[in-house]
Amino acid sequence: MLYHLRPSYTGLTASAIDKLNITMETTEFPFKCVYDGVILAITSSDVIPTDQVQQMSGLKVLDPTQAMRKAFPRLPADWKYIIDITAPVDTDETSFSVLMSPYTHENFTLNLLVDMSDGTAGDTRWSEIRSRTVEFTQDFVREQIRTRYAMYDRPRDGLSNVVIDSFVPRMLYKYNMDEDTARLAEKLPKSAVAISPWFASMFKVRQMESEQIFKILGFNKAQLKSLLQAVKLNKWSLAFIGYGGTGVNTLHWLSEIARLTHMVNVFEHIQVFESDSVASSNLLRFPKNPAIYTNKTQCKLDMLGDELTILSRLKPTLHRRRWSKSIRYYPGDRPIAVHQHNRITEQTEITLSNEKLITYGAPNIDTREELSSLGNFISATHGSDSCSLHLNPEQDTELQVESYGVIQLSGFFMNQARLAIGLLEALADPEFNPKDTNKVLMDYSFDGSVPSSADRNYNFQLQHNGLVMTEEEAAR
Amino acid sequence: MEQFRLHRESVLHRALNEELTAFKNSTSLSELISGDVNDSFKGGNVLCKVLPKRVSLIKLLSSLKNISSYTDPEYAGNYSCYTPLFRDVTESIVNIPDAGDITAALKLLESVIADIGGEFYGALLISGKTIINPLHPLVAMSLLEDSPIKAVSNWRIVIYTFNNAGVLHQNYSSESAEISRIDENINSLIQSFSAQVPTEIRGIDSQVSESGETATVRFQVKKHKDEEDNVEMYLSAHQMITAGIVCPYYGTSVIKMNGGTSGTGVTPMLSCNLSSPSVTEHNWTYSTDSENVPKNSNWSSVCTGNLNNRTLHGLRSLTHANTLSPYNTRIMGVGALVYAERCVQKSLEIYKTSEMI
Repeated sequence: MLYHLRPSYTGLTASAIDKLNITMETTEFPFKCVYDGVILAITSSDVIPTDQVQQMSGLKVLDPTQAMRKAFPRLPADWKYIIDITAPVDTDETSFSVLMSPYTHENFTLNLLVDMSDGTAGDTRWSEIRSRTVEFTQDFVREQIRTRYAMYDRPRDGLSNVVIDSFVPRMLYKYNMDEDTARLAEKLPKSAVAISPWFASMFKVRQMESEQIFKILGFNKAQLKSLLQAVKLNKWSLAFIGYGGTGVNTLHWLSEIARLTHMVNVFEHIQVFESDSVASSNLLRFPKNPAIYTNKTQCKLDMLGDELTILSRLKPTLHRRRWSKSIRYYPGDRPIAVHQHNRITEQTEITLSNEKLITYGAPNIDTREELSSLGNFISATHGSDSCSLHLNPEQDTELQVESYGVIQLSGFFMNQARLAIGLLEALADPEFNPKDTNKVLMDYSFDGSVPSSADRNYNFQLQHNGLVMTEEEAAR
Repeated sequence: MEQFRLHRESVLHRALNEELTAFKNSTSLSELISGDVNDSFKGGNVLCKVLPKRVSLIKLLSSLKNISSYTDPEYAGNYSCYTPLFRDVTESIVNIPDAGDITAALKLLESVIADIGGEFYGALLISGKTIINPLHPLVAMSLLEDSPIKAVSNWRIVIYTFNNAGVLHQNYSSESAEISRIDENINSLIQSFSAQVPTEIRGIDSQVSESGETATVRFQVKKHKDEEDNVEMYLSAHQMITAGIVCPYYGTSVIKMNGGTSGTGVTPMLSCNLSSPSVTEHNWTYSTDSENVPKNSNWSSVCTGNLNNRTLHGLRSLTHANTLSPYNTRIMGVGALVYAERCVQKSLEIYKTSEMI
């Protein structure tokens, strides 16, 4: 099949076209060229090997010049300067595209039209040009929120002390992320409370006191204090692998427990490994307003505030890098792991630099495997409505796949608070051996019930069907 | 909401700026819409485009009229869920490392299947981050073509067997399955695959707005010459299900994209990424419009997690159905295990016919 050019452009009939000039707009790689107002996409994959070129009778094939070879070192020696027209165009179409090799930085001449069909090409064509607009602002965030969080309307059954965190994603979505409109329209009852301080300020409701949160989880102030004392006596150090959904929450709730019990320096030394990037879908999982903590240096780690200094006896260390294989020998003042030789090979024995150092977090599965092999690693994981702590989990990494359901925030925050207590319980336990492998330290799922020890009966209203709301449903 | 407005001080701005930078730096515009080409076989995705008017697709969709014969509500209410299968087979995993290239691995797999007999459920081939279910008929068909999978020199085979095949077959009422209809369904799938139109999208250009808040990408989709411009139909093979750990699966869905995206499962092993409420509710009616495709009340939402379900990149994620994720209600119909068995047999037949084994 012949690939026709628009006859009207050259004033010739399709079968008589014998010349086409295309002017390059720029010689940058990958460059763009403009033809008849259409930006032509250029990719390096359009170069065709010489043996195929020779089958295309009539195509004038030019050898690349030395200058071209210098400009494009990836050009294989036996490949030729070639023009690949891939867009069949009907005579009445208004525009078309041409893909070219990136090795043409000057005008070129196409002597004849080329039959490039491979038998099936004749049955295919490119559709009309469509466009899609990606909005990086509110719509983008809204979409992330719709797909990651449980979205449901607040049941209006007259209950008092409603915990609103689970309903925030829906309220924000419904009112186009405009918290003021959402607050006015939703008319939250005066008794409503929020676990997240951010949500409490956003909707101007009371923040749940952390003491009440811990009581709901079954721990009173005295119990928490004795836990912290026991941990402190054991002189553990902590390295947080990542400061994301899990790291932010664990540090937040640990510091809340420390504040409540007036304890400081619970750990010898705390370090945090974080490359300081944020998945926007994660934002609502931070029990803090990420914006107001970033006035100084625009960095997520600023959300830490004074948490580390409360918890760490020695000056805490922030590694503004992602944990990686090379970073385990991080040349800081207190490296995580050490080895005996300068050069690291597969045989090099790597050991933890400090037997009292616990690595903690929910990193990717490869990193979990690596940390487990070093020992002293507590893996924190959470699913759609549960959380757990595993000590040095041995994982069949290739069979294991990350999977979450939609996140219901009230339950999520309660589970995260419980995770922090679980970490303290493990480290307070005199029987705790950080070298044990595959040990489940905690498995917990908050069910929404409130024990009588709490000062009032909070209503968590966790009844969600677990499904992602469609765009149509969410827009209602 | 102030925190969500773009202002330079916010963490959110950083996050969005990253997206924007990634967008600007992309050398291939089509990548933005269709995903990284190198990703297409990560996980062994099989997503093929089929023409709505193709006889095979109509036949495939029509065969669903009969699906109720093996999704009898009497059974389905209790057992049409992945859980019993998942628990049973993921506890019986056998690893065979260093199984060689695809041909050697398939040959070895064939002999293992013969040895295991009725206790065999399925197998995965693993190499690095690439995981495929070679016994899914659509995967078998795709392996006949040139694919990056063939370049892998050393696979690991993971075999999944039943702890108690008898109980599971009872759970999924294998005795009620009609093998001839199952075979008809599988053959229609294969015919649809054979008639596929290339799944290809190319970018024309992209333009980031002056405010930096939006970017518009212009693109084209490769179509069959007879295909309407505004509708695309895709077959998506669901090779695995997972609840944290993967397990082979044999589902397939038809995904329709025409502005929005909707889908429907076309086997008794549905996808948990489609909101098909129940395997018992397939109720097909036929339109007389130019599409000539049965209109089904069950065309439903397609969940692709964080990825946009209007992109091929997003749809490719359907290869792996996350049972902890949305739409995870009842997904396995009565006769599903017989369906799995027939898929295994058919795939081996495909490999033998093409002399791959």
